[in-house]
Amino acid sequence: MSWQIAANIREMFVDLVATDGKQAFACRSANRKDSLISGFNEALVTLPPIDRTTVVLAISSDFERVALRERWGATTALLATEGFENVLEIGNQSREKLFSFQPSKPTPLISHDLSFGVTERTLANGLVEVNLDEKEIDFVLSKLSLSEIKSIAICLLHSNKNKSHELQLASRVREKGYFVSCSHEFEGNEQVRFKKAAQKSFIGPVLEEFHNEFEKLGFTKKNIDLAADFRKSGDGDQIFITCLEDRIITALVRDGKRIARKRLKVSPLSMMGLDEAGMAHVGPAKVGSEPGPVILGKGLALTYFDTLAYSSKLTLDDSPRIKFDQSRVQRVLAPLAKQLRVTPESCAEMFNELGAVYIATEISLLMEEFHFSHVDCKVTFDGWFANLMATPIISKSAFRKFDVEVLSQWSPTIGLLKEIPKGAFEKLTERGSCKFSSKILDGETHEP
Amino acid sequence: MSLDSFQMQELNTKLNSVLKSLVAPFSGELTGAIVDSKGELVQVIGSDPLHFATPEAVIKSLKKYVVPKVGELFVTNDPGSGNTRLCDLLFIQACYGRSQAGDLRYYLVLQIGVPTLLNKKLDKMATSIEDEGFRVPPAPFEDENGLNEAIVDYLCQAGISRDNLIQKVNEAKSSLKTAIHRLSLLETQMGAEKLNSGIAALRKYSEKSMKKAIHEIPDGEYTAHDFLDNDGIEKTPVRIQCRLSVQGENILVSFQGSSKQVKGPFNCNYAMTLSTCFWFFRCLLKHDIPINSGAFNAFVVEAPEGTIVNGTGPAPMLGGYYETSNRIADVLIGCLSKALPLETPALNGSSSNITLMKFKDKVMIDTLGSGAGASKSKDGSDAINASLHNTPASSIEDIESDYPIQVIHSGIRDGSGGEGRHKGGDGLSRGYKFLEPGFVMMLSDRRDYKPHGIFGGSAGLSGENILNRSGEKKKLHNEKNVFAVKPNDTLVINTPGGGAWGKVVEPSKEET
Repeated sequence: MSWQIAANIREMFVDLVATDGKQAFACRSANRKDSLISGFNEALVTLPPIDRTTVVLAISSDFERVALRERWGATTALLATEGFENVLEIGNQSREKLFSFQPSKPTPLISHDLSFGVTERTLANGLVEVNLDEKEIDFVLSKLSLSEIKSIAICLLHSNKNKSHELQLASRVREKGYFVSCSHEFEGNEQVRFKKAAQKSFIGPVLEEFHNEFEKLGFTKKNIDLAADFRKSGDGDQIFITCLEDRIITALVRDGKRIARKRLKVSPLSMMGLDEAGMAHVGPAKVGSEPGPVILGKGLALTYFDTLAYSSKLTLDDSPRIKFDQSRVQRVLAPLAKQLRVTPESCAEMFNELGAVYIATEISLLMEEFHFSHVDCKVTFDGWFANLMATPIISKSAFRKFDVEVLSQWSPTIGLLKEIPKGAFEKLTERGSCKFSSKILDGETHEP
Repeated sequence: MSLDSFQMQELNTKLNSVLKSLVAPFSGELTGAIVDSKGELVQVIGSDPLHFATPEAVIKSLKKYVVPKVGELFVTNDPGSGNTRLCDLLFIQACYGRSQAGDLRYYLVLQIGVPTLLNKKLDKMATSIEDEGFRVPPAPFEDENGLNEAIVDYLCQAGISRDNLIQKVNEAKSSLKTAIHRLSLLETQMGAEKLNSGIAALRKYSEKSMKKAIHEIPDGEYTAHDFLDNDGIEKTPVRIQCRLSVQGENILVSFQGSSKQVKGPFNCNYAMTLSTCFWFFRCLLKHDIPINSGAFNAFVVEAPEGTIVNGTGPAPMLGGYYETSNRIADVLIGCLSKALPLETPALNGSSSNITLMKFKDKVMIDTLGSGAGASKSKDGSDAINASLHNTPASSIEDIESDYPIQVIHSGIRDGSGGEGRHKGGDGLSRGYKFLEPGFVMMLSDRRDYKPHGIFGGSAGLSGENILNRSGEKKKLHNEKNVFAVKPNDTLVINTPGGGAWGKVVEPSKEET
């Protein structure tokens, strides 16, 4: 069996597992937001020498999400049906905050100056009313060549009914060497499709660069899967709750087929403290690795990660490279605990409880949206927080009766492997896994 | 400080989850609310702040007609009873708490959108609520004997098929059932007494938070007025007058001096005015609060009955919802600009630019954003739901797929924002080509009175509506209008820009 490597590349950490069927390795390393490949590199050097050209590499990463959030993308132009060039700027005209005297919208990925109209019109029934004009395309392409554009989003009305114009335009644009995405590649109305096409064009070139980084490390392009997904299967209704460092992914699976997936950000659970009227609040919204958990020396805003780690619920037995600075958390937590007249330990526990309420509520709302039974459903927790999240989430939720199984911290990463050799990761999965697997009734845990 | 800080947040999250499960299966502008047996708001969630005072108002009206019993389902869409628009259908479920048989403890209120309820002739400007569509005053909709067939038949006259209506009703009932289950579970976990005291604590908290924010306004009396261009029937401006009296944490908003209620559909009921005032004061707060009766108790609103801000009787109100409410927000912001001049932005375009288009049995409603006002720190945003409402724009492809309309352009109306040190946001321009005969009703405003700038910034351009028939372009001078359209007619709506902040800084001679 040739070597397989799977890596779960997140903003703060990288989990890496590797096996050749006989040996198995695992490593967790710290990561840097500005270079997501760095943590992978660090983990890679812990492996024995192997021929990387034949390695099957499965990657699940935050790259696209971070690139969009941090605006790392390429300079991108928009080609839209004439008269609708501002479609991305207008969006759906909704403001971000409901309560604000000065409303605002997110800045579009493609600027006003780089949005061009193209004469053409396809009708709602898919019939072409106005054909594309080849001379005009030449003219637009000559204008594009004057700027530093690397990528182009093609967004024509009703291309979901008839994609001929988008294909025609894309072929001309590709001849010039631009990265291209078209709105007909996506589902939904123009507000949804155009936004997705713009996102794909914006991050496409940098995603290719990210891909190339793995090639530079010696891996072969055809053996790299950059969009590996956590394996979920089974019969009947199942919920897989994968606890990652900055978010919790809930997948609803029915008879082995995933029907819904929702990311619950843990970042909104970072602590803000008490407001003037005495309510505990959570925030700020943006945490991830920026500023990041206090316990890792990043920033001063306490996160859910911090309070879990401070309460010794989060351990890093397999990660000697990562150090927790408990005293830093203690310093930030102390004034809040004083205000609440409790110990810092109790304060952290209270915050952990509040986080569990939030997560449990969101998961059960997702279940209701997809008509998942609150009675007979198997729930599997895996990932970092799995062993400590299962009980509070279930006990705080509106669930009635579930089979609950808790897998190890390493399970999501192991699940990325194309083929998992029998017994290869036995020790690893045992070490991190939680012992209970039981029925939980009406919010009360019954240990076996 | 007690540990209740965390318990309050936990209860807040759980009450929100009850309401989220109520609205989750539906899309569009939705409101979900819990009201206690006394008729006081426990919590409300929704995407349009103008709906937030509605649940209390409607239950108050309901109690005038009937004595609700546990298990009964009621329905209404009547703005005369405190609702917002006829197309907002409210289901009200009277329910008990944890015990299987007990006293009525809560009302769950679910509002869903049914645009076909505006499906009347649309061939003239409404002068009564009956002209605006199909009205159902608060009435029992289902009891142990089944659905109220008279109401079902009446609603079906609006053009909605019986099957569709029953499907909507069943979806609403299923949602209400889930929410009741969640609420009962919450009461079981906490105990009725603890839940009651928790709700009381949340109300107290919201009131305290709002009062703290209000306290930031310096003591004094601040006045402002503005005008609606007209009411669509009589061609005279309609005045909205506001006085804000602040003394510490106590605040009175008085609309004495506002025009009497109007014949055209531009009246607001008291609940709409109250919701607008809530939105205004809530904007002063920097953090989220649960929206409950406590939040509304933080201020007093004096809106004389029979005026534009508290229309009574059969007053038509559709334009009141979309336009007058925006103007009420403008006068409140006008008062604030006198109290805290540097903290207040210039006026938004603040028109919903609503257009209703009717083709046979179909009614299309499109609302368009305007330019936002600039502030001391930044330009105003372009083409945005600038003030009160936050209705998403209709998708162009959806319009063209569902109605005999071709959208000929939809873009930013360049140059419509006011000029100044910080520029007002530009409005929006959208053109429609009609493919079949139909009727168009326009209820737009800010076509005469411009959104003004502040500190020397210029006003945004007013909006305009242009009809092109047989190649002849005609600017519609009455922006509140009902007219027939023929195939190939086009209508262009240019929405107002926002006001600018500060004078334009001229380059010095040296720089020139």
